[in-house]
Amino acid sequence: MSRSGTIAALTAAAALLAVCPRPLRAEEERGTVRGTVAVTRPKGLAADRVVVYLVGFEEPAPARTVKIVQRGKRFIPSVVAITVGQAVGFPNRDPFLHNVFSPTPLRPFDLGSFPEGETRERPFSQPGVIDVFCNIHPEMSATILVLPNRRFAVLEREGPFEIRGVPPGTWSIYAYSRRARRPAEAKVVVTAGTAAEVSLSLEERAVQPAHRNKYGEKYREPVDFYR
Amino acid sequence: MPNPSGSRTLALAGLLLLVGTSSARAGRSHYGWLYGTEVNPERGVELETWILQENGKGDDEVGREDETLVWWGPVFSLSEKLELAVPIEFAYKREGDESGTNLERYGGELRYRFNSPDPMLAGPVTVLVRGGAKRFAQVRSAGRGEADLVVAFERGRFHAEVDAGTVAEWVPGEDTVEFRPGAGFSIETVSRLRVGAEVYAELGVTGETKDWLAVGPTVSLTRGRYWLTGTLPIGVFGIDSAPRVNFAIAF
Repeated sequence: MSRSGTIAALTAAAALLAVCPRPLRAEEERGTVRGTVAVTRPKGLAADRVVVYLVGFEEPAPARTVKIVQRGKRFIPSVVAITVGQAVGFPNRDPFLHNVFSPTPLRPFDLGSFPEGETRERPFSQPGVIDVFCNIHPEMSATILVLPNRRFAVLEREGPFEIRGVPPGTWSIYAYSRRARRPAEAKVVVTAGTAAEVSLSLEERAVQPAHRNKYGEKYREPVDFYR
Repeated sequence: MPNPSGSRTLALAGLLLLVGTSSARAGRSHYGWLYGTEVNPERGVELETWILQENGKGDDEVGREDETLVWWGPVFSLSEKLELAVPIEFAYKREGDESGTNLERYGGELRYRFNSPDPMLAGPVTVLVRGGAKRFAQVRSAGRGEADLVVAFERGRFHAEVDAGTVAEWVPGEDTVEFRPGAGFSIETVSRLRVGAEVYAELGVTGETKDWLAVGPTVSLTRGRYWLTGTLPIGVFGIDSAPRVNFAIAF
């Protein structure tokens, strides 16, 4: 992971871990948070997913398992957001083996190698930013944001967003991009039955350089015999 | 709201964690004579080598012997919990004026870990069972069965383990059964270097055996796809010393 990517990931993780969330009262009415995320990036760099999320309160995770599909030597989608306690499944839709792993200290795992048609799942019980790679194909990378609640929006690129069902209160709101040095941060005051407006700006610096394999070694030259 | 200085402190601490963290653990053991409870990821392959010595085993009445054994074999991960080892064993033995080096045994071993291999799901106590079936190369009608129950406890940098093993040999006129218990502890120091101690014994249940027990320090190291463990137990009874080195490379 590049230094800028590491700092962005750790800052996002610190933001998620350092706040003391409060339990919600079921009878509270909810509000909405609307806004825009602006991204500046080097010329020629393609747009990437942006995740906008709120921190300061907890909600139970939905039962649904989120899927990150392995197809065409890519993780699709490459950025997902889930709630603490939710699981992510990794179905292999390529006609060869993949070996999904994460070196992230928060949630290290190694799913082993599995062929086309099989799926491996893992639950995530702590908030944070999890980088996922394939030990066979260095071009594959994904990021999982494990968030304390379900109030987040995943944007395919910069632009408008809307997050509904936000409990009343003063919360921290973040916009995260894998390529940004650090997440954009703001405060938002939400009242029941109304919409709060917020604008966030991200500066993307560079595409992440090559990472290392699960043994901490550089990847070998690409081969096609993992079938 | 996370304050900037608190975020930077946490970010720095997190960065140190990332820098200091090694990568995959392979199917290592922290101990020399005790089996480990870790298994390789599914479809992984590990080449393991054990080199062990039993120095001055026995007593003056029964006869003392020295033995050096080399166990070598690939270990295949059949699933995320099940491994198959296919070893061959060579041994040098010296008893009195007689000595020689031979291909001793060959066969197979299955190792099954009950807990999830995922460190976040496994819990502090891990259980592994192992069973082996081997043939003697020198005696065609002889065979050997092996079984182990291994229970490990891990919390933070501290690891402790108990291994209850049994070996039964069917050799014409020389059938034996041995109970092979062991226990140990290991503490991680820096950069995946662990230090600890272990105690191990081979105790005859039936047949003519040379009982022994030894205790000593253990060191283990993991670096990426490699792991190495060394121990130097000194005999309490029945043996002078039982040094052992295990090492492996994972693919």
